[in-house]
Amino acid sequence: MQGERPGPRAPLSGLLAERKDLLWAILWLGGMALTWVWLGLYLNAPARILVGAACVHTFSGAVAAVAVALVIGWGTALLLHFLESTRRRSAYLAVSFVLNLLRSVPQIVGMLIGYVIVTGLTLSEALTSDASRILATSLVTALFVFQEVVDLIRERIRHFESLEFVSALLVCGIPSRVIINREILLKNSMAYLVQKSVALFGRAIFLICSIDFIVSVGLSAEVSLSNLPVTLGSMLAKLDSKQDILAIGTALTDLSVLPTLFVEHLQGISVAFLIVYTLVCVYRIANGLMERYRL
Amino acid sequence: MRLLPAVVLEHLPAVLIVGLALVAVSALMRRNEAASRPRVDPRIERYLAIDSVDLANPLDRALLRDALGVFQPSGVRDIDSLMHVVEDTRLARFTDPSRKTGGGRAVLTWESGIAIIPMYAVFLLVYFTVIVFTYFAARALAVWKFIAWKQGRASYLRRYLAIVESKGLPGAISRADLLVMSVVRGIASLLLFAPAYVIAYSFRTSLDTGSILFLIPLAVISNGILINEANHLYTLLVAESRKGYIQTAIVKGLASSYEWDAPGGLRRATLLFPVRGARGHVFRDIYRNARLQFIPSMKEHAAFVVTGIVIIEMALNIKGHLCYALLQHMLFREFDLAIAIIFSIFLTVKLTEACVDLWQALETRKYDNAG
Repeated sequence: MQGERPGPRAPLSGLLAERKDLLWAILWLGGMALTWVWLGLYLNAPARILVGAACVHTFSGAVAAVAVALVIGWGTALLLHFLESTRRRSAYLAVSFVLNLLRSVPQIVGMLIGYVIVTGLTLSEALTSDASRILATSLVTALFVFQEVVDLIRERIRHFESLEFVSALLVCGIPSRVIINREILLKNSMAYLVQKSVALFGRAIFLICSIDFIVSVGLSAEVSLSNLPVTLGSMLAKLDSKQDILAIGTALTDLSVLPTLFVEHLQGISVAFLIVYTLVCVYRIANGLMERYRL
Repeated sequence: MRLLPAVVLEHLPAVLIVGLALVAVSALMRRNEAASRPRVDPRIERYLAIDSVDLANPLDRALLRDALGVFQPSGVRDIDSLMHVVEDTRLARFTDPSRKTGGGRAVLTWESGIAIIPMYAVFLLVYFTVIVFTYFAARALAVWKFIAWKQGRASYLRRYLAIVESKGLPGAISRADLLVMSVVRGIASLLLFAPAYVIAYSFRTSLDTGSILFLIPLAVISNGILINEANHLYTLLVAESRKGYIQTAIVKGLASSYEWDAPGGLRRATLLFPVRGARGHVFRDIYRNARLQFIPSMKEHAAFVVTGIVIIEMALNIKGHLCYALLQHMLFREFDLAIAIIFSIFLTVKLTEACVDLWQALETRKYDNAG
């Protein structure tokens, strides 16, 4: 059982072992700041502004998707719990059936259908501002990730219901909705919810970037970068960014190209790096939280 | 084998409902499409249909205008306005996107449906190969990570930093190999999390990224699929190893050393064959119980694998593949064909879910005392 007996550690390696979430959060922010400084030195201003806007749109979209997923997930979990505890079996089965159906739709396919609708709304000028388009795409993303929140909340409620904790509170006269929302979820499951939110943030970034890349590459006849807000995915799909990424392959066979990657091919390389680095860091933060709180 | 009908019965309603819903959506879209298509006024159409007049020719246009001025057809007050409408309608035949695809978009017929089948067969081949490879690779990775954790082995970077903190610069120089390994591991980590299109475009100049031989390994290692699956199994292994029955088994003398090839330790073959390789070792029970909980999550992983393959085929525009065809049908607004492909993908996921349920039921039966 050596894995569970950490010896005395020096401060830096100790931080690496015990507060991985914090360490990776610092590394993520530090890496982003360094990239920005590098872009400031070597990338032309219009492209730099575009990369900045892409970052803001992607991250704000992902945050919005997580927030919406939490709200929908929380509400759905409570609805299922209510239907189950009041023995409304047919309604419970119907909601479960719809949720399982949604689970069987691969996220990217569901999002593609959602994007067709968002594109339709954009072309018909129902969505006019960037904010409304980001919110609409976040809603689509949330629809295909919120199930994880439902599963988590249901599991937490079930866990606490198996303990005497809930019966004791009920005997004290505390209403069941207060027990679930305040005692179980807010007071005793916050670490779980934070960890899940971080993991969903990573998933949302991956999905948003992927769908934007696909839409920009494959459906560009009707959807152009001018009518959907630029994100890291759509930025990567631009021709000059793709050429920058192609240069990596050239560098593998011709090492003399390697130094030019970080100066001449900066737009595509930096966008790809921002996507991948963020995904790695977010995964590590979520894992660190899981280890720290033994979730 | 009462299990099979039960599993089929569980999944069949979802397939039927989704199938019916998609048929309804397809019919609705076809109707909307027909309604939204601009209709040409038959009074204009008859001028365009005159064989002896080439309206692209200015002379013919001028002749037609003069003729209309002489004959003054009923209902026409302004000849110039009429000529403008005729000209606009003629140009629309060449410029209107809804007419550009030949006016006759591909619809779901017996022939177009049959044409999807070879693409679907390739999709299934890629999908099931990726699922199998991902499962075994993730299992080996999770077991390796778990054993490394049990051995108390710290990461290369942690070991390097500990040496730097305790021995200073000489230590930093003498153990630079740890730093190099740490960088290599970091690059591997970036690769495992990178979206498939980033990796594929990086290798596009030196490899044929459209071939299945590239597609399968790419789908296994990219998009974070492998690492997430491995991490899930690892988490279950850790949770299982902390349970009371495992402590009891260790106290009762079951082999519990995690040193490689040591007496009472584990054979390296455990990485590939966790059950057979760990015979007589407590890890065998940890793994078997963790796997039982891991099996249901294969449904989610299957959906992620589909997502990964869809992303690769669409993002790389691999012609002749199912998801590329899906994107093309969406682009050309051939929605019923797109819906047919979406339904085939849904069927694949449902088939996987049914297989996983069956597998789970068979595994549970092994441990069922009553059975």
